[in-house]
Amino acid sequence: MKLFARRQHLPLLRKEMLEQAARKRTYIVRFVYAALLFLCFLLFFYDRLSVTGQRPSAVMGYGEDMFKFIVTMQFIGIFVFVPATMSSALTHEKERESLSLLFLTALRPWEIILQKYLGHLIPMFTFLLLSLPILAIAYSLGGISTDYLCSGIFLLVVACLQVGALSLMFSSYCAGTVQAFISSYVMGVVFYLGIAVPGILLNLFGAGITPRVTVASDVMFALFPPYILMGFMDTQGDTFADVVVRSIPIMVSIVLFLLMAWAFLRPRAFVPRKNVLLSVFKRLDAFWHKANKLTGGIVLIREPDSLPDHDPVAWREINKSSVGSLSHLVRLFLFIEVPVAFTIWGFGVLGGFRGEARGLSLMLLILWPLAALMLVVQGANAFVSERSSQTLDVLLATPIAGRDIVRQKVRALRRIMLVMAIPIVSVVLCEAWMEHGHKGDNPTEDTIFYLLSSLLSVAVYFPMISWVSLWIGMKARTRSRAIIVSLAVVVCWCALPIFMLFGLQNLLAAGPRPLSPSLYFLLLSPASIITITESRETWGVLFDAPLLVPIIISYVCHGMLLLWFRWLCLQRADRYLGRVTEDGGQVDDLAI
Amino acid sequence: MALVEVEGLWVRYGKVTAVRDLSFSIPEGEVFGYIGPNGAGKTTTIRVLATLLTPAKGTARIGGIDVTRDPRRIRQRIGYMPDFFGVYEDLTVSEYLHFFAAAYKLELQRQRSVVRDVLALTDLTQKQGMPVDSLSRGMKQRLGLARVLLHDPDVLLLDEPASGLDPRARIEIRELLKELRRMGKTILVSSNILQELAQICTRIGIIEAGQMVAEGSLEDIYAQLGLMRVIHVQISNLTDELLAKAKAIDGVVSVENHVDRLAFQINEQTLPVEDLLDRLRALGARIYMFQPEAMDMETAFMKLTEGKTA
Repeated sequence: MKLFARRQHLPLLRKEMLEQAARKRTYIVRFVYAALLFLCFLLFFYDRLSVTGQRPSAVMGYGEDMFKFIVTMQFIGIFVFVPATMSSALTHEKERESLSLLFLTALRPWEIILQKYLGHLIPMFTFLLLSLPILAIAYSLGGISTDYLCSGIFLLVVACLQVGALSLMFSSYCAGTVQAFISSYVMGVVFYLGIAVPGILLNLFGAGITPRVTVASDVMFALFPPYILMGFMDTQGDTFADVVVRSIPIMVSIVLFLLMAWAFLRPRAFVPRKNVLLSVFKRLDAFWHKANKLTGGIVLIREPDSLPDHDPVAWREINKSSVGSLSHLVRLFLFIEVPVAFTIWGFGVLGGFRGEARGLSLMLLILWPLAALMLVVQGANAFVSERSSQTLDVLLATPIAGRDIVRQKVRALRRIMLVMAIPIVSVVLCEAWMEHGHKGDNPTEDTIFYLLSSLLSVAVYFPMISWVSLWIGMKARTRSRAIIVSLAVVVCWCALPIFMLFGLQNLLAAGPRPLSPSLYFLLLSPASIITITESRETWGVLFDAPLLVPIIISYVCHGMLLLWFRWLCLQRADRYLGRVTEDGGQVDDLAI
Repeated sequence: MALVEVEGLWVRYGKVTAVRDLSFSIPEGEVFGYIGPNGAGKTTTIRVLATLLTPAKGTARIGGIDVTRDPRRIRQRIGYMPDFFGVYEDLTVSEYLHFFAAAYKLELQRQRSVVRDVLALTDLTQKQGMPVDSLSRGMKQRLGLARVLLHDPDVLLLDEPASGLDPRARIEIRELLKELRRMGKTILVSSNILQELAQICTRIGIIEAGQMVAEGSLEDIYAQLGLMRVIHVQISNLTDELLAKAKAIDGVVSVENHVDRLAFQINEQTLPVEDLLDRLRALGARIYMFQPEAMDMETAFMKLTEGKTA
């Protein structure tokens, strides 16, 4: 590839390839990805593969399941990794102020876009290649046609191209990596759901609503992103050519995203980095200030015009950040709580304010990731922002103890935790009331369990996520690394125990599956504890024992982990942040 | 008595040794110019003294306190200005100074008076309500100096304070440093702009590849290097005979006859500058210009260093 880049005079692509080849991280990530992929495959298909030696004919035709599994895993990999790597492609150049130097060369903007695009896609293509041995096994076992195999691989490549182009567009638009990173994920979700949901609704209800217009399936496919297109494929009937034709809208979207990235490149090359939320709040402040002058107004929250007295770090975090001051927090709270309150009311009306409130459980599944994302970003950013704006050394040369600096940073984080906790707690209380409270009886054991577990989840997981992210942020060099690593840790913490459970069940299965013992793996994952609490009847049966004790043990374990991370952050603050400790201890090198 | 003492200091970053067996001392009230090429180990030494790096070997003491033994007390006694601005861009000038005054645990009432004083000293009073990010580089550097003075430290560690500034801003910083010297502060200042240090430093240290290659007053270093002082003289009644007699004065190494003047190169240990004037007068010379050339730090620097990095 480097040789190709040199021959074709692609200096930027060549530079990207050389940089990636020189990084140890490239090989470690590739190895870890391959190891996880093969491990998951082994865990999920061990029971089937283990009988191959005894009765080879017994596994013939199982290839389809394996193929679908591995393609799904690859799709997940693409949607998780491509935005993370691609979103920094151009913002990194902007932050290093090297984009202006590129403009001074003979490279034209579209060349910069395409070479950056290719440079960041090639590593993902190498990840796709890693699954070829497994795909070969799946194909050799039968059950899938050659067309299906080719279509699957084709759609994976198309997904890479589409997600990459979308993220590159945000990288071209945004001033900083963090902004591009968050925009890529949030707008990616909006984009894919925005396309998929109307498509599915059209499929389900379109004929009924517009009886004279029948939506042909081929036209409908055009609305779907690649992974759903894959799901709708007929494994035996559809040819590779059919899939290529159906993917034309996706190709068009890729070209559109790249064109937009090209259009943004020059006009947005030198936009100053700013805190978008803070700017919005400042504009709102100005608006209300004017409105108050007109109306002789009422000031609900008057911010004290204070100067720092004792705790300067906490003072700055609270008074100068976008989510620190009381008025900003109240706005953020209302922004989240008002839709939540309306939705609760809506579900209440639909269900007559009694009985099972499934809709509210679904709301929690949206609120929890939102809260976790917010806490991860704020926690990881707390110290790394000081490092990147070169203020940390100056702060560390003052006599404030490292642990005091950490404590003051956490004081600001607590306010955000509170704002994010109130919507979740309000949903939990309403759900408990709808399911149990309306009867007017004394609360049942089930209600107490639900309330206890839900409130404990907020009390334990919120600070735990914050402290873990803070710890990672203290050891990280850059904002993007701190946020990506913190997110990866939280996602793995939630997902790995679930994967391990299902994998182990396959591994251990012989005859009837011994569900109960291996189910305890789930207690390691905060996400599964929240899910178990929400659907406790189902899980209670599966566990074959009272849920309360294992759940409480899980909270105690997680609480101890929280305390451990807190201890690490406070006791080793000086070492992590980079100054001599009180006992003359060594300064730690930045590890992330 | 030396306020800053560094003895046998070694600092390593992984396999790279940034500072090797470095020793020097700065007596109280002196301004120590720390000179060296980029990558010589200047910032590393200053970071050790600022308690931001742990040495691999050796000791560094400020006021007799080992920087690794009692870092908190050291932080109270030093004012550290890094070679980058290190300013919170979301604060105003006044808020920025109050922030650090609180970090040094000054009472709010005392904060107000101290902030007012340092703003006046650094000529930033008019800018106190302005956001820090709207200040010019020179003003940001003056703000940095104002910050290090908030808690009235004994020792100032200034890492390239004039770097990247325009001539006016450099002169302003130089004047501020002279004022601080008059206030009795002990200052360690690193710089690449040698001539500026020559005007304010009482002692200099030249470091290369992590090792001190020369230390002392500029005169000492000249003497160590055997460098000659040059004196420019204009004589109205100059004759060949007078020129020959002048060349024969004990201590005169050479005399260059320029169009409008004579350039005497003298060995100061044998012939002090003022004695040359007396001797020329004794020879009957009518002198209407006698100008000793300033110590040429660049010559000393170039002679002592080879551009090696640690």
